[in-house]
Amino acid sequence: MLWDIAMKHLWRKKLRSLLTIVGVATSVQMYLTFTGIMVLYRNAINDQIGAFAGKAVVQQQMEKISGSTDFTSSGSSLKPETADALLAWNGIDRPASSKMVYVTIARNLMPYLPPAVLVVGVEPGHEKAFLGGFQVVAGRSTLQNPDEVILGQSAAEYYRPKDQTKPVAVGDSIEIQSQAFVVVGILKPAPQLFSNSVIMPLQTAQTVFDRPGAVSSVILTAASIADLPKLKAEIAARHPELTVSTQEDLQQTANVLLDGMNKFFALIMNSIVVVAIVIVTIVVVVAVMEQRKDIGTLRAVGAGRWSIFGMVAGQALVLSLLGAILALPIAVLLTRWGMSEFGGLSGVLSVWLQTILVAMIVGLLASILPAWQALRVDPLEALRYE
Amino acid sequence: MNAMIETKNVTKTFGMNGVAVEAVRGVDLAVAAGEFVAIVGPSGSGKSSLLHMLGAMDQPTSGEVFFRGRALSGLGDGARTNLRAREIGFIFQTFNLLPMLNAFENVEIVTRFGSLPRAERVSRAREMITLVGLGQRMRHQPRYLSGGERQRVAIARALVNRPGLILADEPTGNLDSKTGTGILELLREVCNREQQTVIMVTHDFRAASYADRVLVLRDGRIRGEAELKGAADTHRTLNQLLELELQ
Repeated sequence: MLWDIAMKHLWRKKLRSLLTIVGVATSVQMYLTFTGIMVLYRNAINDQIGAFAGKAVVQQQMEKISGSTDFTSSGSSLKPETADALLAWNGIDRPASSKMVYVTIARNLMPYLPPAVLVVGVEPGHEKAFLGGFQVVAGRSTLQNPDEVILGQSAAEYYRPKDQTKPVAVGDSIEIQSQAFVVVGILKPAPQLFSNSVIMPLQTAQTVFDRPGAVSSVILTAASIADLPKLKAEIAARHPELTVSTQEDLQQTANVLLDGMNKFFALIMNSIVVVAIVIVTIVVVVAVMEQRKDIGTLRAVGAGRWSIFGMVAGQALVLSLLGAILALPIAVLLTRWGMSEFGGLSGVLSVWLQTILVAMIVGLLASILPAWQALRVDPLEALRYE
Repeated sequence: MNAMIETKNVTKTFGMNGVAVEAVRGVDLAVAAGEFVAIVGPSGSGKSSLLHMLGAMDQPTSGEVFFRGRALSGLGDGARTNLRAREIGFIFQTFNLLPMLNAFENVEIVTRFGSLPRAERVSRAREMITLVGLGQRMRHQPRYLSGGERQRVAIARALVNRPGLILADEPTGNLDSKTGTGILELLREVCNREQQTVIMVTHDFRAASYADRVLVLRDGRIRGEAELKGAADTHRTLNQLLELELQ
């Protein structure tokens, strides 16, 4: 009923209203950003795990590797004879199984995610053990010579010469540990672990990084997925010093990590919402103080309490909604960039709706205190101001 | 007499720093429909407190206020607000216009609280603005209006819902004498033309001379009363009342 007066009040204090809207937009934007980070993080971890369907990763017990927060434990070390024995196990698909060595070239800033660049040493001819179903976009997915490498897309960008605008391509030469390698394949877009990988022959990796005979883990692909649990149990019984992780195990570990992260991010996001509420509350409380005489006059000439409440709540709601609308273009950019991460168009719309909903909650909660103050204004207030 | 508004032994006591102050003491008055009554008194005589109770903005400590025969003491906040919206129009000394609204909007907004059908609100507001002589200034905000013009807007606002009663609290208090005279003449005209009941509180006997009846209030009590309407010598009557106030 008095919405037009509410809007005129906001317009009258344009600078203050604008600053409040920017403040709310910033808060909403931070909320969206953290939502996006959570989604990206969750999807990134799940993508890595998804690549290990039907496989068992055998490596050293995790508690024996101190300080490791790497997704693939480059600190793990298996005895060569143990690795060979595992590869000779009954019921495995040998061409799709391999000894592996991992060397981190560049660390990831986020914990528990694959390194930013990772050298993956794999037995030539057994690349499928690591790559699984991932294909190359150019070149080949097999290593035929000791000085060949297959790069993931992020790794190709990492090794781009500074004077070039395009990442390295098939046929280009890159240098690792002062040795030249020829790029024979570039992977298609894939989850981080694969996108960040530099795949080279196992022996080459052991030599280049001065780790003769080193084996970080063994990837075993079961001949039949149904046999995987049995395979896991047998290995675990025979080699209690090792960890055998299937996709399920990795998912469980990831869930624990994600749970903790969710709580951490939820705390941050809730704090952001509280800050937004406080910003709007302060501004509207000040506005009500300035409008006391007007409120008193309106009450004196017959405005009901709920009309006054609506006038004040309207100001808080409009400030919050305009803040959300201002945040939306930035949200569009973020969600476009990570659109696939958000689950396509429906995911993007969900984020937008979430934004508006959060803004409305902020507006409503922020209006409580000032609206209550406004309701308490006596009509006689109108007559006390001289 | 069929009183539009009347009080019976109304008293108002305020507590100030632990001390009880009787602003109004046992006031009995009755104002008939269409009558213009002025309540005159010096500062602190209790006239504003009395006006607040007449306007259902404050409740008496004891006694009763009746509006069209209905006691106001039993009314809740919502009912009193409704009464002010539909039956009572206020004119304040400091005009109390909403600064962010123009003259027309200041009048129109009150129609939302009254009983006028939506379709009539705009035309009624326009009619009242024109009645007070501001037809050409209706899109101007208060800061662009003179004191007299602002008070005219306030008068239009007070009249727009066709209230039974107009209460004016020192309507010329912030105006120069010439402008004040114009306002008083307008009030008088409105009272005559619209058969409007008006109660005006003032400290100025000259302003009071526009009324039909004058009541002198001092120390919260009515000290004197005189009919000016039909009086043979208004000046003499007022002088007698002035002496009463000064005693």
